Amino acid sequence: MSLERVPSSFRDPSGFLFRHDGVLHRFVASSYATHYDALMQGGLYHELIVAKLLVPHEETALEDGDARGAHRIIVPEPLPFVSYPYEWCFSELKAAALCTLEIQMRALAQGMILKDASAYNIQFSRGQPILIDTLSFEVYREGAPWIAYRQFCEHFLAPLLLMARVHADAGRLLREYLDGVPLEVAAQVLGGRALLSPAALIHVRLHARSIRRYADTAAAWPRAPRMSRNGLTALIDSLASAVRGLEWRPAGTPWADYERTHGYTPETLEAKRALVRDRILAARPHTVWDLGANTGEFSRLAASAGAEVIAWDADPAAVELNYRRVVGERETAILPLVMDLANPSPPLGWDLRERMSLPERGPADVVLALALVHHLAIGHNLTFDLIAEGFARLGKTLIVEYVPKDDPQAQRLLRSREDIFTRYDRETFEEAFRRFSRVTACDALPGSGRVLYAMERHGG
Amino acid sequence: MSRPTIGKTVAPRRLTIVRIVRVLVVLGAISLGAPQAAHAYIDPLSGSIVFQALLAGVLGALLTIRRWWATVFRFVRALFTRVAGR
Repeated sequence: MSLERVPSSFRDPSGFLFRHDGVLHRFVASSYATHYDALMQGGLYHELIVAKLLVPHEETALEDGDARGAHRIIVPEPLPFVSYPYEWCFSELKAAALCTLEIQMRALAQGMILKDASAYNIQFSRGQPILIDTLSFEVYREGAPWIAYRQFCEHFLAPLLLMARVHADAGRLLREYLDGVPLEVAAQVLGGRALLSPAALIHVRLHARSIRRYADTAAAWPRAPRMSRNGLTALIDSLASAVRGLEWRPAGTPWADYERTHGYTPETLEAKRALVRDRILAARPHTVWDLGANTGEFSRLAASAGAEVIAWDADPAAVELNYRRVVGERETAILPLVMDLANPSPPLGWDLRERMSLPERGPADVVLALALVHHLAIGHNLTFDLIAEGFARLGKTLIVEYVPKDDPQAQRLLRSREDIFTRYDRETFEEAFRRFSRVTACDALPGSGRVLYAMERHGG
Repeated sequence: MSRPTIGKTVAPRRLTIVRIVRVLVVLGAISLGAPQAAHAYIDPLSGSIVFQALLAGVLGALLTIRRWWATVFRFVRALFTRVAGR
């Protein structure tokens, strides 16, 4: 029987991921044996596991077809959810960058080095970034440069600089540039700002210039340059200082301020909270996707019901505030992520199979869509049919708030545009959703014309 | 997050003058050390490795100087403390 290889796992000759009986395994190639054994026996693996910086794994015996010939087969601890760097807010990318550098420093102290610094090797688990690629380490050879320096700059430092100095939405560039934001592009976008920041000047602008100069293979350096351990340590230190020194203050966007300005009366809000809590508890979900989560007020209701929650929002400021709260309160069940639901994460990479689309990572047990449909319908001209079909693809149980057209918030969306939404009414809404799901509860929110629906999609 | 912090080898106070020296030295090294090249097949790593080696050389030297300076400073301070203690 051949192994069901994970499509994204093809870059590293040291091994690959595959599924066996639905369980994720990692094949460790015999060519990587020296490095793997050094990681496991030299104490670094244990140190990183204790520090919660590396995903734990167990070795297993698997005498099955292509698994023969492996140095080891390992089973990494499963992750609750796979997120991608282009879905992270500023502080999530920063935390992932510092996690990578922390691992690099600990590895160096133990005579090993990270051979890559891909942001895709980091995932968030229980509120913290961890390295998921156990095969990222190599035995350090004295004098060798850090081969992943450029990758670190392109995956982490350049996008962080762009987010901090240009615009928080610049993180979305990572969706276009799967191998990281090219330093040349980052330097151009930063422009004169790069002169004001030593990190941007050195690690982005001058670095890009050097890459350009040596881009022609004919101009290669006469001999491989050597780097002292001291120099390497100083380089990592410099990157860490650069990353730590970057700050972005989320404020002033409509959504970051939404909880203060949403316009619910205290009674309506309390009734909504109670109803949403009841509907979530009734579904007893393991996973909840809170769409348009804002700063996560209702995500926390879901988390308190015992669910792992992904709190999606299009506004990087709202996601940033949500993540800061996760960190500040050491919450482990909420992962805030940036995504515009009208243009969700698509499948990306070679053959469109390297990075999964949003629906491929579902379905969630519960999808929460509170105070959202009017934005999709009026803001993006999506019909209720399309919204109902899209939601049913993402979750088994839907908890959806209907916002009538005469609601003040819906009217705000209509203020500067022609009202072409002749079919925006509750009857059409129900008709559309009944096509894809069964309504199990329907409650008016007192003091408003809004209605909270709970639905089960057809076919489970 | 309660993570051990990295970067303890560099003094916590970021001296502006050190930063400026770093930037100038790196600028100079890159400008003098790198020949102009025509583009044919793209080599994505050479430039990064050459640059990194130069940068690490400069940063490593600064780090060594700072450690050495810290040692001298501690020695002188200990000397004066001893003298004052008599």
